Amino acid sequence: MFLRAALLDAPPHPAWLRDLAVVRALAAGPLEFTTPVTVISGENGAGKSTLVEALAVGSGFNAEGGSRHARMRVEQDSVSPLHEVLTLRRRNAPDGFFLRGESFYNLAGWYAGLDDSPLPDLLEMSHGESLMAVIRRRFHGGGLFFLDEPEAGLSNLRQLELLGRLRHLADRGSQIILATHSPILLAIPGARILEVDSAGIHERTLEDTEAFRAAREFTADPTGTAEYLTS
Amino acid sequence: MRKYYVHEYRRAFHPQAPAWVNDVPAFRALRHGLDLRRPITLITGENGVGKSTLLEGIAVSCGFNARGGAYGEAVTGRGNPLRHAATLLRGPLPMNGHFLRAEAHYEVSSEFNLTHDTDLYALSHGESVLRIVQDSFHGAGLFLLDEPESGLSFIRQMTLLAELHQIAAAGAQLIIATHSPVLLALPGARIHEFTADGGILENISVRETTSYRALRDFLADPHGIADYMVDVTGD
Repeated sequence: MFLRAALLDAPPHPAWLRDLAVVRALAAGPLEFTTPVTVISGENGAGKSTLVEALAVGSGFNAEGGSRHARMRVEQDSVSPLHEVLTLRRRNAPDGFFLRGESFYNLAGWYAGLDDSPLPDLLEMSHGESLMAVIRRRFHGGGLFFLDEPEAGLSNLRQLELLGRLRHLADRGSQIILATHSPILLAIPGARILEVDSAGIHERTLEDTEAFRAAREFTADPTGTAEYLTS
Repeated sequence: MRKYYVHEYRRAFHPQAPAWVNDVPAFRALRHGLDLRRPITLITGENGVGKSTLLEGIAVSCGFNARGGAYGEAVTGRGNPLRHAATLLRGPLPMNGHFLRAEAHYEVSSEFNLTHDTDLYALSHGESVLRIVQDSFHGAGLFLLDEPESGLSFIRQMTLLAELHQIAAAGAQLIIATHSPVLLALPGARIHEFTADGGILENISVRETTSYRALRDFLADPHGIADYMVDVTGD
């Protein structure tokens, strides 16, 4: 394990950070990473992405994503200062990548503009194709990988492929920390699922997560549910 | 009779059309024209079929910025390389609305901050998409949305479904590219699924879409399917 735990040293600023469910949970005790694959789920606004960003930045990654060598310009106000008050129990991984579904377009553009780019052609592909290309070509064994909602823009079939690839990556000695809403990615075999809600961070089985239960209820009667929502 | 902003998008075979368009399955499928006269049109299909390219072609033909944004903002960038590849038949309503691109959303939100009170960066990504829809999408206009479900939980996608339904009920025309089984269930919407071989399944129900069926099958046996996917993705 490259990243074993995160501990909050002091209350973060600005105030909205202290109201996030993940930050309140960190204030109550350290967050430990005990399995090669950790999947963090929870409602929008719980702070999943803020947490993954802080863990990645604290591990030496650029806040906009990329490998540890990626040094693209980051607008200061787009990075939360949470990482400044986190202590990470960690050792350096020989390789790694931070992939953000949210700003992947910026990252693809940055790689396209490099001389001798390892990933020169990402802008020539569709969003989903280019994201899968990064994972196929740039994610290897023995590394530390942070993914923030990588399902953005991926079809369900592509998410299923991603599930398989991430499991293989972990089997080859990588550690993966992933924030997701996708019931598919929550099902990575052997993953430890942490769900964030207003009461804290809880370990869950797949079937007990909000994401899985909502998806199952919806798919049981999509038309009826939609009519109920719009009536 | 309800009036629309756009009526039809149809493949054109102008000699100046870029050759790569022939490799985009969704454009091959446009040879018979895509009828858009509907309050809500949903475009779905696997990654790589060209949903986003098709939506961008419609958007730039209407005068939206290819990077996305509200109608009337200065158009910058590469112009319209698709203008010789497909023709848009406009309706009688004067153009207005918004082109919301999920993949470039982060970039656009930098500009959105300058003109709105809300600090979109303090919201999570999905929340900020929902906020743009709630704050700047009103009853009149053509709203083109490229995967607006990105970053939203299932529950929030249901909120988005209700918002989009209201906007369409108030007279807007919506064309949405999506993978979301939730948005594919929008009542009264017409669903078109583009296939990798250049085909199109027109006017299908949510239960017939690949997206819905893949999710339903997965949820029926998540651990079995997860194990299977690990097997078939091995090197």
